[in-house]
Amino acid sequence: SGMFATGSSLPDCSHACGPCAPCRRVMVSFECSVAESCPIVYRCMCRGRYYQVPSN
Amino acid sequence: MTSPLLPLPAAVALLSAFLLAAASEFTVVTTSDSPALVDAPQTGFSARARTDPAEQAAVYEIMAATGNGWASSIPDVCRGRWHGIECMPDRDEVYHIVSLSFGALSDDTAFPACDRRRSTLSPALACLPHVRGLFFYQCFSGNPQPVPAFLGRLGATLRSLVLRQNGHVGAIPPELRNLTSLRVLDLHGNSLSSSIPPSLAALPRLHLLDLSRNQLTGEIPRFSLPSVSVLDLNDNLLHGQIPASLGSCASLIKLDLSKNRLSGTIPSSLGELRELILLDLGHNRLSGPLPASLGRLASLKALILGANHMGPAAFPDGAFEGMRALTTLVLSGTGLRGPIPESIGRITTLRVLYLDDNHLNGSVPASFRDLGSLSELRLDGNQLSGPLPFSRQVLWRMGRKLKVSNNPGICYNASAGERGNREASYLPGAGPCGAVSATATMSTTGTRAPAVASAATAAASRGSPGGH
Repeated sequence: SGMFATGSSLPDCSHACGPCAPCRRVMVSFECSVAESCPIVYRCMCRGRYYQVPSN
Repeated sequence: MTSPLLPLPAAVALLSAFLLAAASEFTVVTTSDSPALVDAPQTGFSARARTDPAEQAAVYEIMAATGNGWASSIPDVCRGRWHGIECMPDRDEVYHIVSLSFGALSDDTAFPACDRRRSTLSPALACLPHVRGLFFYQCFSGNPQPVPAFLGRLGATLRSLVLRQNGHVGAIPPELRNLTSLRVLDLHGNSLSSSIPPSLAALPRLHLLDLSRNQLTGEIPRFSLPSVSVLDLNDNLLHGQIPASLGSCASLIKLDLSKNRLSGTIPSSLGELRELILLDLGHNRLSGPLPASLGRLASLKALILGANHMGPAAFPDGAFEGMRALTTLVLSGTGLRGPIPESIGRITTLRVLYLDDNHLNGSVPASFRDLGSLSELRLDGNQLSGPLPFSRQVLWRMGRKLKVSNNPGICYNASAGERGNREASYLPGAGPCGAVSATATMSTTGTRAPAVASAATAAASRGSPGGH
């Protein structure tokens, strides 16, 4: 039936840390050695704790 | 779930500009399932769109019932989303909730956690007319409740219902038959104690049915699920025969009925399951013989029949030869007697072979030398004797995953052993062939017998499952 939402957007973290505030978007990279590229993901962060970003 | 790799801010800006410019060129795709919803490009939620007020009130209630009252302070739940809620807009720019998830799968993938002692599944769920997916993991384990019948009122929109390790008790409600669009039904790891409602066995679009690790009783209903690919009923109290109708579930790739009380023979119709990759019928009360039709399962990679009393003639010579993809064959404790069938050595794809805890005698067939991929072999607990027909490389590769203890006289050619006199620790339960024949000679005189017995016991204890 071909019903998939298309496109994506920058995650909005403003309410993504549950009761914790303030909740802000950060970029997280993984430790790589001398790789040509290192994967990067977004996370939400509040007082030192990371939270998953909302789904689009 | 994880956000994909995203370009640098400059590139993001460029991309956004492109998408804004091109926005008018996107065609709006309407869906046949929920015509009210619009699958529009989600390039930033529209500034005007708002969540349906009735659904928002329901979300507040559902969240509060799980101990997540913080959600009630969010002015618009589809605009201020968290990991665990998904929304879609309709043509009138009203957002509807399409998915709600709860429970901490891991530290890194945590949906809103439930207060396990007090959480309840709010009836407000039935006020989400567009919801497609519901996921609750370890939510009510300290406050056991039945699976509520009102879930059946979610009717034709719900595609995925996962209530996993939630502590649910009682019956599977027959009202779930109303969920006619369901693709995934996962009730694994609860304490459900009813029989399986026959109406579930006819959900037309089901792809995955996982009812494993409950206390479900009764017989397996006559399944007629044309699209089911995974059927997992393991670790329940199901009895009776395996229904022949399972052979009509032609899309099955995994069928796990292990750890039940199933009896009778395996229906020959299972030979029709040409897509099947895993068949686990272990730990039941099944009897032989294995139907010859199973030899046609050319996709099958794992056949697990251990801990059934299949009987001595359950596996006629050549029974497995048509299984050309077979890598795992488990026949532990199935009552096998006589010599090991030569034909097993012709399943050259085998990587894991368990023949332990049977009454096999004679020697290991020379054909086993052709099992070039073998990495795990259990022969322990039989009456086998004679040399192992493996090269030094195969012995070395299997290492401690070769188990031969508790047999009267398995040995290996010393030249095949790793080095000199270290064989005893290298292969518990077996010594070099020359020594065994010497031992046999000696033991007739009675002089060496006690020492041999204690060595064998020590070897057997080193070969126990926990040890290796």
